[in-house]
Amino acid sequence: MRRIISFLLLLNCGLLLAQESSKITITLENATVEQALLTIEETTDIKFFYVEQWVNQGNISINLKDVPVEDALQQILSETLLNFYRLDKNQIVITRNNIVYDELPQGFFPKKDSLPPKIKKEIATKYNPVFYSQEDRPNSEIQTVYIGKEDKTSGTGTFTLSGLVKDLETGKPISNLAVLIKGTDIGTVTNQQGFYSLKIPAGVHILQTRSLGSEDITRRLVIYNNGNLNLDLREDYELLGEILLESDPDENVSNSIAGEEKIDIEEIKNIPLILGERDVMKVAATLPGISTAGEGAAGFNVRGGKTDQNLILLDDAVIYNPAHFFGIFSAINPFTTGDMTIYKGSIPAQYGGRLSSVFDITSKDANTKEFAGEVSVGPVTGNVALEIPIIKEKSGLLLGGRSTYSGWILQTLEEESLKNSKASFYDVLAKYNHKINDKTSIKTTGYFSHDHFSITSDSLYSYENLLFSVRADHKINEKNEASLILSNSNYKFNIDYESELNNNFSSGYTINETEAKLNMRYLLNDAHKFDYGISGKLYNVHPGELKPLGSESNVEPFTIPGEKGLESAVFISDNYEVNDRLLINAGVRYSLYAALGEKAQKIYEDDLPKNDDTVIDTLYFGKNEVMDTYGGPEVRFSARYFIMPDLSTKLSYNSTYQYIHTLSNNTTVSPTDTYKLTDRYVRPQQANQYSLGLYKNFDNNEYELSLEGYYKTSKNILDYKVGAQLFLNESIETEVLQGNGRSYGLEFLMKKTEGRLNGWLGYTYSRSYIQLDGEHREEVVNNGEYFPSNYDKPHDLSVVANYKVTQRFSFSANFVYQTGRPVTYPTGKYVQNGMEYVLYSNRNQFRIPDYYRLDLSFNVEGNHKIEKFAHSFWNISIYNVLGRNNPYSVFFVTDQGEIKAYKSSIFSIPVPTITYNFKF
Amino acid sequence: MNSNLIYKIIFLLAAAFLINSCVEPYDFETETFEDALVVEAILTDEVKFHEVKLTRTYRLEEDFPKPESNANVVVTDDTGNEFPFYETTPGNYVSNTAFGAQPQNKYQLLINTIDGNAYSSEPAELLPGNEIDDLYAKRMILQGDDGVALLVDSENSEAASKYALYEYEETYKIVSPYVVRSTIEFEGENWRVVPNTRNETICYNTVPSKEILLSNTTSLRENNLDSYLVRFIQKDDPVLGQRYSILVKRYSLTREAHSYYSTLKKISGSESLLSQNQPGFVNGNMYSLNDEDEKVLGFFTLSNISTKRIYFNYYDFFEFDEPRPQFPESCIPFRPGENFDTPIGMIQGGTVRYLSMAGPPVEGEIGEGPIRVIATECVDCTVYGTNEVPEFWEE
Repeated sequence: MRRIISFLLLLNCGLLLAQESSKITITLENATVEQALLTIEETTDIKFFYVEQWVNQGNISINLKDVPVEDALQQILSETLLNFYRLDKNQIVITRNNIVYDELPQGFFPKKDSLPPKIKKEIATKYNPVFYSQEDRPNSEIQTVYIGKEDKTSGTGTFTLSGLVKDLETGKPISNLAVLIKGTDIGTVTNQQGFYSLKIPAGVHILQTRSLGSEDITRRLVIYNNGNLNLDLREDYELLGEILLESDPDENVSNSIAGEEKIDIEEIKNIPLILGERDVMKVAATLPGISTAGEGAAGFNVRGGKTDQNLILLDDAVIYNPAHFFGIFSAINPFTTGDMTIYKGSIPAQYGGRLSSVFDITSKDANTKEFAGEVSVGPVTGNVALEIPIIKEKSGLLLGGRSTYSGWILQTLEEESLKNSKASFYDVLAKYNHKINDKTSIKTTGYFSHDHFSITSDSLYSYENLLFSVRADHKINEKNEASLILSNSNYKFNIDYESELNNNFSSGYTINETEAKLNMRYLLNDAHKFDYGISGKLYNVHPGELKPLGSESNVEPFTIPGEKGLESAVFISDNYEVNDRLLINAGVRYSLYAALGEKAQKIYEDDLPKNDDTVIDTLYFGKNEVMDTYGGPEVRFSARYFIMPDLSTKLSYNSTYQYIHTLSNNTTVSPTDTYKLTDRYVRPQQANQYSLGLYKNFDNNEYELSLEGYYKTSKNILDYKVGAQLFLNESIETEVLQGNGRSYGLEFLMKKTEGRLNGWLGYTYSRSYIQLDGEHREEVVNNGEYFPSNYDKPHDLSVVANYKVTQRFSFSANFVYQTGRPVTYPTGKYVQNGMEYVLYSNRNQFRIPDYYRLDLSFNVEGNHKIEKFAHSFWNISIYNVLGRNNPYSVFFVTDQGEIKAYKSSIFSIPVPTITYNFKF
Repeated sequence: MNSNLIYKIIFLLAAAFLINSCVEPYDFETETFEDALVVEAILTDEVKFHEVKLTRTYRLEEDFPKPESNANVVVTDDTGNEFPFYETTPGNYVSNTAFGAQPQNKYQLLINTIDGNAYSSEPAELLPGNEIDDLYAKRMILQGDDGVALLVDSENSEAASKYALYEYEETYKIVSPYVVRSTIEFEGENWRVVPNTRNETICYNTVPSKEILLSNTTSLRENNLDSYLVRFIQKDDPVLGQRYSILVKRYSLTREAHSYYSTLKKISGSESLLSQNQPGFVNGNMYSLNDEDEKVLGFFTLSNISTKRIYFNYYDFFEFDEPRPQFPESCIPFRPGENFDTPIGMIQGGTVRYLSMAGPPVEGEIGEGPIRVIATECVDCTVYGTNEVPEFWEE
């Protein structure tokens, strides 16, 4: 790597005394600058301070008589990049590039309450000459780069800095790399060729880059003139210590999207692991507003929403069950994943179909220059990812695979009933990226995951996700861009039951969706950027079938008729920069859902509970005949307003529709949950969310602070009658209840993005309520009043911290505290037919004990020699260091006629893990 | 990357790794107690004196429910008949007249409690049911356990209800492994050995079913029920050791009744570690006439009933070389203490029984006391049951 001279002012200085004289006479022939200076020192009492390397140059021949020292120096230094500054009568500092000013330029201190000036105005107000001292430089590792030479005329003005960014090892241009000037809103993104160009006011700036998979670098720029800065970035080996969530240093303050979180997979590798798995979804759950029902529970509750209200996209295709082994592992392979953006507040208009959030996960693009790979060995899983160039610098293939070694985890469980069980899983991903030309590129992804497990010896469960997507990006012209996305995703599960009796069966569920989506972008001018498009999604659900297993079985084959639905939408949004302070992102999405035949739709008598006895008619619909339609406009509005340059407020209003519902009679997500499409009796869910936030960055974005509040109402949230039979039930409408939801919360997040100690602290106070107040006694829960939802956890605190001891060694810690979730407890018992039963309280009247957990890990990075063929990384983690036996659930069972209370927990003792990773 | 280099993948699995996930019993006390009326009433087509049982809910840490006494209980039908009930023992109400429920009528249960509250059931009806055609025992391996399964076959007429509730009552014979001819009689401080005249060698015990057993033939090919598993007894269960009898009762259910019992079963059943049912109040068909929100527990059930009893012996299913399980598992005589005080004290306390005076040492017998004793349950089968032969018992 090219070394750039460190800025070490006033070191290694020459020191001589000279005569007192303001005018000098000097004659030089083919002298270096140093010789010239020494000559002046000999003849005067002026003392020079300089860096030896700088002055060891030049070929100066002059003959001056009785000229002021300044004039002489001017001539001596005219051919060099050097300048000088007279500290006092007898002391002169030789500087490089910069002129040292002895008074502050006008407007150096911006007026209070003024905005971060726009680039054009910055010339006058933000120009910052070289007045920094050692203390101003928080990290002496930052290299300083001098751009251009300063001359008297260039003291004020804006200059263009441009350059190419390439991968140090492969030489491939790095696109989509953010190049930013810290503390300002100047920034750009490299294009496909890795080229960037920035307009920067003269002065000292901190330039930063942010991207996935490449190291993030910071350079101190001293801008004197137009110039060029090429960067060679290494793959992200060295940033061991960083746990950065944001890709742009001040994006949290400056963008207009309220409630957005970004996670860079590469940067979370130091977070303590459980069973050796780096898990982006688990990291997401440490952020405010995102929680899970408990450890080992799959599914996320975002801002008081149900687990089925999250749109989880893997390369644009929906992944229905992103969990392995009940949620202990995520089905998202960390090695093939690039980044994840979570929209939990304001959801951009191009996304729709879920109420609470969007988790947009993007896989890495394969290296198109050289073969590369990564391997991880943990106690439970092994993981390999390979990047294979296909056509040099044009196309590459990313392959990733992960698997458990065996089902022996379960055999080590102490729980007797689980000893005989088995569980195993694997997932594979392939992504091909092809750059056709500078304007067009194609990416295609295939993904498959499989899980199977059995908890009792007579039944075997399995489930699979299969996704496929193609995305073509095309730049039509300077102002217009288009992306065409086709995706298909399939989720299914099977339950095989085999016993000695002749009632063996196999049953299963499948959902398939195909989506076509066209996203267009129109950059009208600096103020208006339009995103618009159209999408259509076809659902095909096989809600269940039961087949006899084996010839002995007397089980009658049984199939629930399929469901079909078409969800389409048009959307447009405008990112409108009203003025320097106000940025508005206003969008509208109109979604339309049609339930399609064929189907025999039962019609129930109005005003009576729905059951087999109240069916009054059956309507028959033909294939693809429209049975029912629902739809409406969804407003996506978000605005940012700068109160002060580094303090902004954001306001958003968001409304959403959801046409697909999870059916689950578990309090937590289970792989056998099914999805039900909206139909005549099951109405679409709807939500409205209002949020207001304050965002502030300190110390050059080193600290980020945000405070966000939200209030959300929803309706037609699905719930069920107690003990509802949901699987293999043809008349789901007789078992479901639809009610209202209400949630609100305040989220606080403080991040330290740089330095030896970094990490974040998130705290959320939130409440989430549901109301089930149907017309009939069996449809009313808790007398029709609002009650806390299963995932209502008022206090939620997460601290993730990383301390870098040296470049190679670091410690990290993760602490979580949460209020125990609500449960329904017994308020008594009773006897019926000689057996005891529990009388339960109102739904969710009580809470399980609070949850807390501390995890620690120690990370060792292999050494950083470039020649080394493989780069290794060790992670030693201890999960639940405090050994807290966190109750996962408390439940009551009638066994032999008597009630027994049980408490279950998942990881009740510290769990140590060692994982070894290497990259080549 | 230099591809000339050969990479050696070193697998390292040095983790001292263990998951400890567990389900453990938990001491739970009622934090907030809710008092509610519990109604137990199954009215069948059998002509007899029907019973209704009224109790109250009770705290988790308590052992017995409180009876609801002095209530006014009446069953009415839609033809204007009234069948009043009277209280025989606290909380147990029996009809004044013998009657059987008729399939064409709708019945209602009306209760007025002493505190002035009135309760009613929704009108309930009776559906014809299937006969139990065959009840049989079969030795088999179920989920890896060897034992005897008790199975029901029933053929069905199309008109019959597809839902049924099963109850059983099992009776088994107990034979004490030791027979003692003599016993010790106490008179104050004094004691003497007398002949043992008590019948304590052969006993019987009758136990009702302790689970909700439901059948639902709606998904079966015909409305026939084949090999419906009522009970499975593991091979080493001492109830099998001698002679065993089971009485199975099959009650036909309406769809509502079936849904009530299956919900009750579902929320009181064991759950898997990683998934949980949503528990809650199970709505029956009883409600309060005074307060709409008051919880009333129980389901006024009308059923057609069919019963069947079978008997079998241990050696009907097991070979002679398979040791029969017995009550208790092991019996070893021993000689406690050094003088008479210790064994006599133990005998008086009732934990052990007199076997004989100690003779020369016997190999394997512990102690050097003057009396050989043995655990009471090895001698006296009334520890486990009654020594009266049940009326129905057939040898």
